[in-house]
Amino acid sequence: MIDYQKFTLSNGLRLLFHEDKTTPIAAINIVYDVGARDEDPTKTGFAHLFEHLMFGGSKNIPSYDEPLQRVGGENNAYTNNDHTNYYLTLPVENLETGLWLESDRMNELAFTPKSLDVQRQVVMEEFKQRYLNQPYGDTWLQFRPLAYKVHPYRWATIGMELSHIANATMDDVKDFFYRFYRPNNAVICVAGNLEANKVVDLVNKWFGDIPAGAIVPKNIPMEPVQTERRFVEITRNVPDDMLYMGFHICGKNDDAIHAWDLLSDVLGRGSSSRLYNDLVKEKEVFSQLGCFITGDHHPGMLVFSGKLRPGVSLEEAEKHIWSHIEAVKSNLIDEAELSKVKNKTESGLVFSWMNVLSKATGLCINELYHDAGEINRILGKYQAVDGPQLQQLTQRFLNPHQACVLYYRAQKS
Amino acid sequence: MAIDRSIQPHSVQISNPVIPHYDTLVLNNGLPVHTIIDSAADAVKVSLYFNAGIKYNVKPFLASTVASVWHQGTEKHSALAFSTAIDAYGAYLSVNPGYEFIEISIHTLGKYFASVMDLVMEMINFPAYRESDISIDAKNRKQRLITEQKKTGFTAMSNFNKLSFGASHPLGYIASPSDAENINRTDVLDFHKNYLSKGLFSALVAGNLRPEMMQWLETNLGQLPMDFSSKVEGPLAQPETQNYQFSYHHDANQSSLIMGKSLFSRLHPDFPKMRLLVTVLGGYFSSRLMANIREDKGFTYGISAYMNVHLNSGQLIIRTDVGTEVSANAVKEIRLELQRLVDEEIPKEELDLVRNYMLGTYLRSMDGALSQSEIWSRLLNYGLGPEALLTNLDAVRFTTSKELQALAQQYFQPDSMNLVVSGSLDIGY
Repeated sequence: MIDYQKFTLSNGLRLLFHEDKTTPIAAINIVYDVGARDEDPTKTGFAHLFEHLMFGGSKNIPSYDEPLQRVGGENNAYTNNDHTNYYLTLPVENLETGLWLESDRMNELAFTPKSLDVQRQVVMEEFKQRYLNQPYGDTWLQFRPLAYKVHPYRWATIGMELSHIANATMDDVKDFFYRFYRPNNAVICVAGNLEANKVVDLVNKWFGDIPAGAIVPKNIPMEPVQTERRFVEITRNVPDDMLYMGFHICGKNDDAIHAWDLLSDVLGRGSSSRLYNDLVKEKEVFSQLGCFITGDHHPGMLVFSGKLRPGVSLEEAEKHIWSHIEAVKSNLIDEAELSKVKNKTESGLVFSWMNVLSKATGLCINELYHDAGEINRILGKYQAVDGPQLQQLTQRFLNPHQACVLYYRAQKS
Repeated sequence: MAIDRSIQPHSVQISNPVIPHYDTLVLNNGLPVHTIIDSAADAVKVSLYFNAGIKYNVKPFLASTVASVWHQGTEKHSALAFSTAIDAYGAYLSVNPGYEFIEISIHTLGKYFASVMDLVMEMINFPAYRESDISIDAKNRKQRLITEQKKTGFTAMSNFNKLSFGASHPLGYIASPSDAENINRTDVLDFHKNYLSKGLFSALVAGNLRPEMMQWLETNLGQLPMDFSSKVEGPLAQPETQNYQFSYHHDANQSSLIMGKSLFSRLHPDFPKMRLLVTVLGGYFSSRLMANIREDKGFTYGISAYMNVHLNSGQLIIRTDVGTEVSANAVKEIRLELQRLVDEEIPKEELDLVRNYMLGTYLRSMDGALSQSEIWSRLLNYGLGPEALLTNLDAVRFTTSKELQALAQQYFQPDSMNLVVSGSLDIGY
């Protein structure tokens, strides 16, 4: 159980507070309701580039990092398709410095041309390092447009291509800031050995006078139902063939998400999973194989991903995956197997909540998509999943006409 | 009333960091069990350390193979039955091969402690090492290595290690894919018998440790043989005289650069102060290297400097991936930053910032029993204790700019560095 209190400032900023008496540090997490899905299709990668610019100085503070490090703090951020999350930890006595820094960059960025010039370069190097200069690094760049035809999940957070980042202008930056980086489009959580009224006072002091923005309701096109198998194959200079198979499932606010998560665990989590034992150990079809859900806010994917053993064909490998899908359709997953993955989920949650920052982040993300209290209901929802539910979901959603299949072929030398 | 946002709020110095508490219990067989009690959650982490790391390899990949197959079943349980049993309790079990030690790491909810640990004991006492599991591990390892060799970062690090340690040292040896398949069951069983079966030398337990769990440790771990006769110092580094190596990757659009050198061991008296100097150079977001090469020039997504230290050897490492066309310039700038630390004292303001940042990092590492156990595992297993932690903290707080410049003059001379480059452009050195 993670206790928390919720407050809303007059400008719409939602504040969560969690008291943790056991730690010498405080955590501040701020999530903004903006991600790659909010981008213009001709300017992709922008939400993430913008995240970099948030470290390039704000109106009254030329450097974000330096004052934070000077008081013993550390921070980072990430952008995904749905949201952009900023987080920091620092000695609890110095909490106010963190609030000062975060509020000044929410209030107004410095918008310096140098920062934009440099961060465009940095992000282009990040693009190369993570997506182009790694074997199999472009898998998701290829897979997304296969799986999504309309929804902006069809491009990756890093962007569709380098040129979109290269062409970003200062006008784009300012427009994005005032559209999305407003207090009424954000959730902040403060956690640590602190008192609620003191936290509320400090947050009001630093964030209270930041004007709310005119938040335009999101108008994101939903993905139409897929009616036939989608298939693409590519050839790259990599050592082994790889198979990628995805199916459209629900979004993270749908209660079925917990069933999908457990199904992916039964099939592909760890060395006691079905796929690993049958296809890596017994039949030696794959050298690595996993199954996971993407966990997006809007309907996401259940994905099978595996590297093949030399000498096995992609067609043959795909058949083996189908046989496991069929097995779930025709035979109920028994109680022991289900309780195994539920127990694993439970201990995963317990261990992740032993860290003050992960609690602050968890509360914020839950508040953004649901309400913060969902964090205390998640385990119960996992525990309520039963075998028939998994069987029905599989029968309904994991069929040949619903599959998106990518054959990533190794170039023959 | 509007607030003045240009004025930073009052902040405090971390003046007197607390050393976290742990207890050491010595079992009947002499095994020290270090405990960090924290009742915040019903969860326990157990780490068991064996004198059986990569330095004991008689063949490449032997320790890694043993670590990978050790938890794949026992005489009583197949690999599947064993992992199913562990997972059924929701526990996380991993075996991690380091250079000096192999660690068994267990995360479990307190309510399943005894059941999970009984399985771990079964694995320690009656491992199976089945031929089929070893063979599949070898084939998969071979495939992974072939993929790794395609990565510029991997070949750069392999070559850098070869220059630092020498090609015949376990850390400097350049493995080939066939090495993975060159390990047979006899090698594995011998390694287990020689090192793991009697090599347990330390345990670290963190979390909500209750009396019956302590009793379990005494009854079970307290019965294991403790025999240090197989413990070795390990081979000494034999650095190569060559100071540059290039590895060609046809389609790379970035170059992986590593600059650095062989350095002293973890036990060397300069180590605590060097941590401070290396952090100034490249150990945090606003470091000299990041400020210049990323935030000013935009050459890279990231650059870092760190030390990799063992009991009788160590390395200084500066690494980055940069655009091919700017790789020569990046090397020039790294050298310039090294030279600046050799030539000039670090300004007080910058040094104060780094001190506070490092003390803050120290506080972060005390967030809960699990984090604290990480601190102690890095010290206790090397024969170091609270006094070493105090020495490290004092070095962070009190080392002067003059002392740091003297260290830079001794260790940071640009011409003393090796350079390795992997990518599509050989820039020479």
